[in-house]
Amino acid sequence: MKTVMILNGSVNAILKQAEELNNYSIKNFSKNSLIEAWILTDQDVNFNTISFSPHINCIKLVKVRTKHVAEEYIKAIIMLYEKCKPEIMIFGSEAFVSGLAVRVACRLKGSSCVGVKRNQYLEKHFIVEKMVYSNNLTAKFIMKNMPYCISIAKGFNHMTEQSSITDDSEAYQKLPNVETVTFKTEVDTEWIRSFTFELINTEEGLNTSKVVVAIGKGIGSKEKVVLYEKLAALMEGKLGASRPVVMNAWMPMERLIGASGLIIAPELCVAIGVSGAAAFTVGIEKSKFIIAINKDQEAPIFKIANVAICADCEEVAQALINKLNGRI
Amino acid sequence: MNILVCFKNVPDLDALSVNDWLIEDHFQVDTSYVRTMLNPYDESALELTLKLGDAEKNDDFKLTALTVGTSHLDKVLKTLYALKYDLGVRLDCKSDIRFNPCFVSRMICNYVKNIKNHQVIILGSQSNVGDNAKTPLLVAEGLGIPCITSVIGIKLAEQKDCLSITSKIDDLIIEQIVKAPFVLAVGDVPTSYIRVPTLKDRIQYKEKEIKVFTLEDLEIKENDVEEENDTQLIELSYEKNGRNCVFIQGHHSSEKANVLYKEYLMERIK
Ligand SMILES: Cc1cc2nc3c(=O)[nH]c(=O)nc-3n(C[C@H](O)[C@H](O)[C@H](O)COP(=O)(O)OP(=O)(O)OC[C@H]3O[C@@H](n4cnc5c(N)ncnc54)[C@H](O)[C@@H]3O)c2cc1C
Repeated sequence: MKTVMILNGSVNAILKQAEELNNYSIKNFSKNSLIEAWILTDQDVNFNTISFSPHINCIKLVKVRTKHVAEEYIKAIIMLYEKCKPEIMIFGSEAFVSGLAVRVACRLKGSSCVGVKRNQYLEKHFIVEKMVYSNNLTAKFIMKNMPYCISIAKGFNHMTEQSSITDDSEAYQKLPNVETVTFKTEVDTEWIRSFTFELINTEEGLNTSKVVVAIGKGIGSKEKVVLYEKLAALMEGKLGASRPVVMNAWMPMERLIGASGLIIAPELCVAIGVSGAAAFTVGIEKSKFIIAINKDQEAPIFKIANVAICADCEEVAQALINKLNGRI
Repeated sequence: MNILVCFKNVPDLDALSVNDWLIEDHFQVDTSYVRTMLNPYDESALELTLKLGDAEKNDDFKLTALTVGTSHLDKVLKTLYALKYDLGVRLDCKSDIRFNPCFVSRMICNYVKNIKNHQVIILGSQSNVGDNAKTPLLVAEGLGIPCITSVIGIKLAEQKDCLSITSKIDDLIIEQIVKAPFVLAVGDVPTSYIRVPTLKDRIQYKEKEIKVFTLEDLEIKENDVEEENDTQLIELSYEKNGRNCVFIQGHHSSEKANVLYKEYLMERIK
């Protein structure tokens, strides 16, 4: 089936998108499938920094005028669709692009699904798998109408070693042919009276750190965050948080781990005062080793931990800090 | 300005334990014994809109809260009345619409088109059970108006019929003054828990009528429910790959912390 993957080149995260989509395609498409990559962008794209999986046989680059007007991106995608008529369109996991998947499908009278983990073609049906019920259950859906527009689940940037080809330089080919496509993609933007952009100063590294301390509502209050910052720093790790912690503004939103935040896969994750709701654990379950500290013996977090302490988290954190300080 | 906030009341799925996840006929999962709550994203949408109302002195500023479902939702709408929503609307529906955002959005669109027009329509980005993350986008498409996703701030703007909207795309924060009509999909907004009504207001608004519209009122046929859907659920399963957790024993926290440090931590942090 003719397949394309669609990338938003207007944001710095294009590298992460490419990595996610590469890994998704490797996991879900046979070796000899050919996939086109469509990059929509308002800026120049440095292709030397992006890797493309061996599936990608051609890149189509479409210039758009804006970074943020979804309606313009939709128009560009539909114009390209009319030219190429793909049957499967794969979008990244970020909310702006997953929104494009849904709206493009709607306009083309196709089907859409957001957060897809896996796809297969079985008895003439295109079937997708995704998490539902707040990440507690897995659902399979038949997508009824073509084109099938899916946005992939978060976390494909962290693949298990055997299926990832990130380090296998041979698997990545040299840059496929890049074709620049020019359309009149302008849409009416009269409704936008003015706009400004600001780049969020995301503290680097929570996504890539080898050690992460993840704190939950059980730490008690904003004032306690410094204690866990200290603990994380002594382990040369980064501090992340569950949803209530960022919702209470104890920590910035960028530190959120889980279904609506970051999916991390450190060597060591220490989960402190988190209950272990599925929407949170999906964010840490790829960690190599998990330590959980919670005062409730029945807390679900213990089910995904390798080692656990059932005790008051502040006492344990303080004792660990003393130990780690003594080490230096 | 005329604002419609669409919300869903959802079961607190965090309260279900491993053995509660039983999948019954027609892919039903019994969650009736856990408490229900406002879907967190919709809760943020409702509170952001109330804050907007706090700042707006103009009498033309009207807030409507809308939900889809059966009469048990009326008590939630009454609470929203007590919080000064001007109108509470329920689109009556008994069908299984968990995985059918196409149908839900059609109902909302028909309400806006046929019954009462609104300049701004605000919804949460996603809600649990279905986790479809499609409804706001499909409402925008159905009405043929723009949609801003991952909204994290809504403020009044000086220009007529305009709002100032803050939203996110990856690591970009966008602040724009936009003219209605449009749809907003609200994302993760810190400190946007919904306020609690006073007892006095609860009592005062207890009897205020909820506007209920049937599928017929919305000119939708019952048969359309499944036809409208662009996907079909064929399997629902529960699988949990847990780890074998070792509990560290000890008389007190510092003793346990010592064991943790010596046996597990030291080797993992150089
Ligand atoms: C659509 C949707 C998306 C979501 N996305 C996310 C997401 O991305 N990330 C996320 O985290 N959540 C997400 N959630 C929310 C999620 O379902 C849970 O509500 C949340 O993870 C709970 O956070 P918590 O564990 O910090 O708090 P709680 O569930 O309140 O748990 C606190 C824990 O701390 C323990 N505790 C209390 N005091 C102490 C003490 N002194 N010492 C030790 N332990 C103590 C308690 O025993 C309890 O287990 C989402 C929900 C929805 C509906």
